[in-house]
Amino acid sequence: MKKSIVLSAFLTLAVTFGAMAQDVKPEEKKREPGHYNENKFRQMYDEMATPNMFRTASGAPGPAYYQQKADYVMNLELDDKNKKLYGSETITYHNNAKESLEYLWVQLDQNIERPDSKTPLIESQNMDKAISTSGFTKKYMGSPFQGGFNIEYVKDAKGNPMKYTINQTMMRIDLPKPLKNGEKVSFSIKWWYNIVNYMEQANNGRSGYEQFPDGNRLYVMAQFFPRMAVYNDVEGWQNMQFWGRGEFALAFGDYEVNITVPADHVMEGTGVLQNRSEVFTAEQVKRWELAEKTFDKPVVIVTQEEAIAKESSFSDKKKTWKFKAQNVRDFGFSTSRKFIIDAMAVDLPTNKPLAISIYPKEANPLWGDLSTKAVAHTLKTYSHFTFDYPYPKAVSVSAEDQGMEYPMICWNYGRPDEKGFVSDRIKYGMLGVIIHEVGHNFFPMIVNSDERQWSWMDEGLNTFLEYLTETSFDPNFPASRGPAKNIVPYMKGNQKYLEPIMSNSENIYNFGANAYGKPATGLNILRETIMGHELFDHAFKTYANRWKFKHPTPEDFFRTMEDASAVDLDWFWRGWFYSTDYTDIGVKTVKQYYVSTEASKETQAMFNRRGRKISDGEPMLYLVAEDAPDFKPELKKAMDINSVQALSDYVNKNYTAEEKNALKSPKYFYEVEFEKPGGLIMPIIVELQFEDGTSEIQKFPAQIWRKNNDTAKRVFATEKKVVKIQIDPKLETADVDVENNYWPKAETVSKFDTLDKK
Amino acid sequence: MKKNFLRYFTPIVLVVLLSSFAWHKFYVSVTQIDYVPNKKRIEITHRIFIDDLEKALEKKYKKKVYLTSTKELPEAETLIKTYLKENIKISINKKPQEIVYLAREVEGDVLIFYTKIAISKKINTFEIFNSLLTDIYKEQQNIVHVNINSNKNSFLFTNSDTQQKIDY
Repeated sequence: MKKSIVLSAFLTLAVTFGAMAQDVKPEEKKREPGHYNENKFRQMYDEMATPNMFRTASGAPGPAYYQQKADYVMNLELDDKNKKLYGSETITYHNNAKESLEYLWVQLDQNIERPDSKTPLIESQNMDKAISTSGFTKKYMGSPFQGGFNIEYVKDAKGNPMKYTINQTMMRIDLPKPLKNGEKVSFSIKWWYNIVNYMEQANNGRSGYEQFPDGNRLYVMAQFFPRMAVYNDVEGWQNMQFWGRGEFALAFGDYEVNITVPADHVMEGTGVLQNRSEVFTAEQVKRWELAEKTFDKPVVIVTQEEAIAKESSFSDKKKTWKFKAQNVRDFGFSTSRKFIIDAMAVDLPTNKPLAISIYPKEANPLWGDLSTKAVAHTLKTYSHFTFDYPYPKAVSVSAEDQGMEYPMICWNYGRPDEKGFVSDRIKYGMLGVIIHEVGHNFFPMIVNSDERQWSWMDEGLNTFLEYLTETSFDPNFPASRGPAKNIVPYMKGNQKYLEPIMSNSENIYNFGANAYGKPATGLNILRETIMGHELFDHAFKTYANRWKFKHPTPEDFFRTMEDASAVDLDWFWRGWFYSTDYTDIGVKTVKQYYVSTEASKETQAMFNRRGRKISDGEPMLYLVAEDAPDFKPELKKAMDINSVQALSDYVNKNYTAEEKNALKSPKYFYEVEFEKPGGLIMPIIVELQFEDGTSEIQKFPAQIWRKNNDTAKRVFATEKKVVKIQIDPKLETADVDVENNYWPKAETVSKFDTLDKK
Repeated sequence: MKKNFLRYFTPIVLVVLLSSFAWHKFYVSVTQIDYVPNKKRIEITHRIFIDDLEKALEKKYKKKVYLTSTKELPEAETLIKTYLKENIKISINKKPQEIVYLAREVEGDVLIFYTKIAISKKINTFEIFNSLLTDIYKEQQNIVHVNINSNKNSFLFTNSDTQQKIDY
């Protein structure tokens, strides 16, 4: 058995080499220049940062890994009448780096709303040749919003002023003496600013207030305080300006925040409320306690009637809400007279967090029915794929035009229209945004990547889990980002407007597809088609757990996915994340062969050249293509082993009856050549459809392209006649052109063909 | 962050895909125009955000139409056809063409319209008028990809630029 296999392999090689030797005439051939390693499977030593003691080659934090800590104590007061926020804060900054720091960088994100903000100045403009009178007045005659921080002082722990310098959205505080490893420094900043109407005037629409016709406002407050920039082993100080799109890089720390608002306001914020009985009625406190024990449905804590009763009170009295949060990277809060609250407990193996929603009456009945349920489902699903949600609560706030995340709290759009009607579009839009923003608690609030540099690290991973969460919440969920086929229109677009995923967020044309859709789809392809659920899920979970409450980089993710799965994915990262290549794999040719006991003239000639006789050795079988010059028409039939004497003799002689029963009985032989006009590497997924209507899928790993990036050949021996071959029948690989996916060439019926006939 | 922000950064050419409800706050429609001589037709696909179109129809006809929802008005289809006729006009070789409405379908947040022009002659000049949604959004951008005679062109139509001409 073995010997004959080796021999026939040798003969195949001999034929190949024989043919090649004939073709090449060395004296005529020009010497080609050499080249570097251009193989698509080469490892990514050049692109990826070298592993070190901070970050290991396995993708895990290394023995020298460190991160800084920033603790905040803040007292805030909202002036609802004048739409101002006043604050004083004490930051305690811990230097855990081995090196000393001469200065600190603090982020002043509100400065993006300053009249002299550079954000509006970096956009190209066209003249509006027709413009409404209100638009004209605003654009050419109005003055800009007077936003941005007014810094009253920066003082050290003894109350002495500190030297600081503001550069747009960043403030450098010079330290009197360098802050050494293991030391901490405390300093205080007092500030205030005008709160922007985020739907009308903002350069950064992520926070501000929503104005209601009844005179009330709903505040969603974030980036509202000077925040420590991240200092780490990768960027030094991450003090890239906040231009508006690239979000935030923030250090973990503990927060103690006291917020004074009108006495009739209801609030939610990051952390655990310390004085519930001072700000809620006794009845409401009882409802809270019930919610903490209720796992099956939301408990209403502040009712719609209670909320409506307050809408017109506009109290002059004040109340202070006191929050404490441990190990969070940021703080956000939302406050209004209009808020209804409901909540339910979520049963996770190691934690029982509360899922909470707060919304004005305008959001009902939609929000009361669905928001908290969606929060709870999100916490469960994400916990399953990563780690048990470690914080005590997750809050979903109803805020129109919003979709923005903070630790334990997020703002989400989607309300019934003025007549109370909820279309599916609004319902699923609202559910999708809640799932997405609550999901951000995991990425980047806990797995704390640098959003300023890499939007995809949180948006892409989060959109991937959002897709799994949506489809498990409702099998009919119209989730658009995830399935491979949905990214095709983007990936086959004009290359001039495409950037690799590994690009900074400010420099991307189509942000949604680049930073959300494409990375999420890539992970989906890895999970469904390349790695399989078991290997992928374990590796993804390993990444989440290794970097929970830490600061990962793209390399840490890429390396962990390989390290935990033994699947070499450098080729995938290089193609999908570092390039704008696209998938296009097709069938180039299909050649059918027939079994003969007679050698063709060509084969005989080859034997003769090699000084061998056909009669040497054991009997041979010859596979003859239909287009061979001496092809005999009588060969053109399915192989029957009984009519191929040499083969049946061989089998009868060497196999027992039982062994013979186990042998396959191939009848049809095809050599299929695949082509790959696309630059991306993907597995070849081949569906063979047989004449009896059955079919079979065969999959060839991506590595089939390792030596030849353009074409690959496979031989199929089948028991049934193949009538159709299709590549990627389930559209798993984001193939941008499926017209070449068929044999025989099918006239693909376009949408228009179908419609035009009607 | 999910959606709110994109409106401040106007994408010049949106190659795709208005496909997700998450992204909406940039005011864009995308039109693809392909001449398929062997099928004797020009194939036109418009992708328009449902809520934008709904807003335009409501402004024009002064009533709620509940597009694509269970409460959609029976006459919505007619209103849409009229709206498309008024806001998309095409002339070929200097002659105005009849655009035949074929169908519409919903994809996430977006309505896709399929229309065609029956034609088999050589195209020497191609003129497009596109004022979709400029009646409601001054910042509306309408992107049109034209693929005729193996020439690919992309155009951006705005409130102030509603007319484009290609000579072949």
